Amino acid sequence: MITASSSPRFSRLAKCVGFTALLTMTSAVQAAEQRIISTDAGSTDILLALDKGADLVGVDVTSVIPPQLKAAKLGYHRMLATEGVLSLNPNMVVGSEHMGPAETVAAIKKANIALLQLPAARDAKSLKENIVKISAFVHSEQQAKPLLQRIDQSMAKVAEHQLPPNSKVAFLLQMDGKGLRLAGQGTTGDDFIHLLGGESLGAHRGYQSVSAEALLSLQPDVIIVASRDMSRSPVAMLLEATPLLKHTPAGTQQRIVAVDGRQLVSGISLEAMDALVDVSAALNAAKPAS
Amino acid sequence: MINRLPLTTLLPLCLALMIAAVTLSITSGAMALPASQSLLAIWDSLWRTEYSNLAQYQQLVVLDLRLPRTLLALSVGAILAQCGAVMQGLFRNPLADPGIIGASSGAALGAACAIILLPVAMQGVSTPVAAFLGALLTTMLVFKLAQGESGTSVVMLLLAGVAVAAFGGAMMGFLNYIADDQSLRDITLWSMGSVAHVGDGMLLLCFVTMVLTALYFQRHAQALNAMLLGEYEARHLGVNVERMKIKLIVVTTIGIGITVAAAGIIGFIGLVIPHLVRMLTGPDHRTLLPLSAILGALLLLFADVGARLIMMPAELPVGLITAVIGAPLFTVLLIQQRKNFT
Repeated sequence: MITASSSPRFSRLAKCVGFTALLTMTSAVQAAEQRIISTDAGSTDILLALDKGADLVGVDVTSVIPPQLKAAKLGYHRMLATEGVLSLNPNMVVGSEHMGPAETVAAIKKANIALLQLPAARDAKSLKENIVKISAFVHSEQQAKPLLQRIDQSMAKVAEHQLPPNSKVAFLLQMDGKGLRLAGQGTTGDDFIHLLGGESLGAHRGYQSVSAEALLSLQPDVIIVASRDMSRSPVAMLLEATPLLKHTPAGTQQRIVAVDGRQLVSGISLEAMDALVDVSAALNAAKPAS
Repeated sequence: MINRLPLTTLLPLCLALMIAAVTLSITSGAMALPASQSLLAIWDSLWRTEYSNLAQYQQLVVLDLRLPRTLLALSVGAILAQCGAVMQGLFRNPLADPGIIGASSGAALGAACAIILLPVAMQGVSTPVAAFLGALLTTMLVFKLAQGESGTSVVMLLLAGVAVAAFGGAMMGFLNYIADDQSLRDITLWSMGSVAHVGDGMLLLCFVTMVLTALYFQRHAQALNAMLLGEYEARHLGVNVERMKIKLIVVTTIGIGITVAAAGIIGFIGLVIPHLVRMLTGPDHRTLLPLSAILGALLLLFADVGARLIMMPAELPVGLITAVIGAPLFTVLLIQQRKNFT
């Protein structure tokens, strides 16, 4: 039986930390079982690529996992339920730097559960850094090596077909017939343009609605259209809905390409790298800018 | 028509329900803990005994997670329902709730400003403070707009509330438009309310507010009863109507501002509970106010248990549950009372 502390909460917490530390150390010696919670789509992607899917006991609402995996859904990563996280009895939590609320993060730390918080990957370098950190965290350094090589190979392919200097690129989200959203600073679309070597036309932050007239005035050399529905050609759908875009430099030179929006949901991920190679190749195959 | 229940029946019933709700709230959650041991853990912490055999981290789940949210749900539910009852009495309008004088929309606007415009690191403090200030400022504005030479017009108060709420809605729309995806999601979730995350200071503030507002409102119960006859009649009965309106609106706004700061926007309690109590015991504010407090606390407690259990281990925003419970309940009551309104 454990004595309830006579001192206030902080004393109880201190005891709890010691107790759970002991528990964690004992369990680490007894078994190397990993019970991982991932609260970020990017981290989940990396863990799956590192073959850690079977060890995932919980994921946040943005993470996409194969249907055969039985990880519990923990809700929005900035509003995690403390008891929900603890109830899964994890010994590792991986998440973004935005994971929250602060009380939940503090409880995870107090319970001595190993915690790794990473920034979202914005380019190949930060993606590789995240892979290295996560693989070290879950002791899968060997599985990380082919992933790092894959990124290098992708970047080498993209480097072969870099866009001409000062190419103006518009990255558009197709909103299922409800207009277009132009990617601005801080978005994955913006990062995607920079990786291709282009200049983003979105000077604002985030995604903003944009009219065909405004797009025409921006005179994009390249248009990348991201769609969640790849069953029909997103480029054909875009030009059908907004025929005015045929008169932009991108339209006249047929440098409008599509990308599967689902590959870019978790920022610059391994999937986004594959999409980048495809877009780069498609732009290279299109009629070059004069 | 529901038969009105005597207090001798209602009070023991409420007490039993309250004990059941608190027990349920302390013993339910994502982590499966024996109910008796969870309750013993609280007993232990109160009386410094050692009956509970829960591990210390399990005791922490009960004492640091479930107990504070139970107390917060009690306090917030009680404040909201009482404020609703006072507003309805003051305006002699069954549809009046704190939202009608702009408090909720002002709070939402304040919180949205903090979420979008201030750094994420500050939001733990800035969001509740901005929400409180938003509620206070909009209510003061509405009140100022309604004041004329002949006193405060209730109709003007309601209309100004509608106008300010509409303006607040438009500003919220603008903020949503310029927000990035994460902020947008934060605002949406915040506006659905939660009693899950609260610091000791805020919990204490809510509890003290609940006690003080309950005492304050109870002192004005007779005056509110007089208001039921009409402002003119209340004046003849010796009530200083103008002063009472100002005082009660200020206290109500402070109460609402504090609940919004602690738990976000939780709708329906302020609207539904006073109606329910009026149907059960009649319109006498001496019983209406304390019973509203008890039933408001009960509704939020049960809703919070539901919020925890429905999508375990994730949690739903509690405002969704209060709306899901409150709206049909309200509709059933309306149908039963239809002939009173026609």
